[in-house]
Amino acid sequence: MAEHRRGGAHAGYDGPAVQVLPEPAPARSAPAPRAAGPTTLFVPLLVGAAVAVALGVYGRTHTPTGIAVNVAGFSGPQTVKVWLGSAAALFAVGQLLSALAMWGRLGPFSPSWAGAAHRWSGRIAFLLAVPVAVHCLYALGFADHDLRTLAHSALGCFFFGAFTTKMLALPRPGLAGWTLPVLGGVLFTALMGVWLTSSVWYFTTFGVHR
Amino acid sequence: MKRWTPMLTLLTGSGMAAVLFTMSAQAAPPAAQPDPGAAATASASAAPPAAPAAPAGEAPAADVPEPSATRPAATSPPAAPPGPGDAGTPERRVDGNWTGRLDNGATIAISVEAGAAVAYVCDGTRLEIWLRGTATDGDLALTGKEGARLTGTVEAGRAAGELVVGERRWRFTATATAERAPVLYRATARVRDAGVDGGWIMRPDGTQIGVVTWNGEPVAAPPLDPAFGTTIVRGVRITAEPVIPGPVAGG
Repeated sequence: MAEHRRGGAHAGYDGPAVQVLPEPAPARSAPAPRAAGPTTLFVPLLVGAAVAVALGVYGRTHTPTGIAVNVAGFSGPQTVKVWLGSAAALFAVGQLLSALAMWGRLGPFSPSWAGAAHRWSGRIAFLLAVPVAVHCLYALGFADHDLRTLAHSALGCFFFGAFTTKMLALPRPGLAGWTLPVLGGVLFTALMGVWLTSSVWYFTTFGVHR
Repeated sequence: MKRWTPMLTLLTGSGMAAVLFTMSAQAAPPAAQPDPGAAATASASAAPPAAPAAPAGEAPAADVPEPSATRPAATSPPAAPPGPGDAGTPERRVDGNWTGRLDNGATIAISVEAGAAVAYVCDGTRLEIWLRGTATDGDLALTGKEGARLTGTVEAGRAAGELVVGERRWRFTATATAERAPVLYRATARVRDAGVDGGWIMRPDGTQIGVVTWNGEPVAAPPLDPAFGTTIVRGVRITAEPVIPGPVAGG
């Protein structure tokens, strides 16, 4: 069962998203493509949803202090966040590319280190995003001043819930082949949304500052 | 091991968040850091109903339970009217924010926390006055520059009173904001050799009003982004911070 290669379900599997490719990339965890049923994802989804809701509720009920711990070298907490968030977004692009390479979607470019690159860029992106989220939640809270802040708040909570779901889903055996790509795509989309509604908005509104 | 690396990632992130939250909690100024005098009034205004008779002046400076008595005040919902249970008690602790108008049309915002009060009056074009003082048992007593004095009362739902500046005298009424978010922001900076002093009031309906004094010359304040506390004045980025009521300190 562990010998299955990702996307290598030649017989009988008619999953929606998995296209059989002649030379599958070396998969890092190689979950069996034959799904053990949606129940496998139940706990990760539940925990992820709980994380997202908990973050939102905390951000909404906690009194925003307007102040949080600062990082030296920047002119203010918002610029720190803007740059940390942009760095996380950059690593997220690395996530997308390395995932595509892992799944053989970049044509012949499918290096053996794609899996390691994917794992490490993901860890770095996540750890870069954590201080930003802490500042947002502690100093600003779940805001709905306008559509941008509302979308940013909701997407930010959703992102960390989705990340939790993916981390919990990763080690599970018997995931359907589409699971990780879908979760990863959701994560990437959410982070891009968070980034667009914060850093990009900031750069276009106030210019690029350090 | 492979099974556990995602969990390790999650745990690392959670641990990092916990550390940052702790550091943030220490970085943020305490709800109020009153001087001994203000502490006495704070403890008096926040004293439990069991000991309402202790006048402010008699509260000893070394009153140990005082911080714990004021701490719940800072975390309790702002504009919540007294519950039916304590409707009859003499406790008149009122923390929160009020926004309203002077009878000359200017906007006023008052913020009270643990007995300390700060108020800001501005008309969005020229007039702006910062006042600081105390709110003892709901009675406001604030002073500002050029002899400005603000007196009045605050209750859970509304505030009313009078502002006197020199010969001029205005009445004001204000209603409590439903949310605990700061209503007052102030930016003081020196940019390009110019002194900048900006004040903003976030109205509960989402609009805002403010005045920026640029080298002593008041100009209408550009909108402040409430999430970042920043704005651009004459091409320069300015950061404003929420104003937290504190002891009178040459405001």
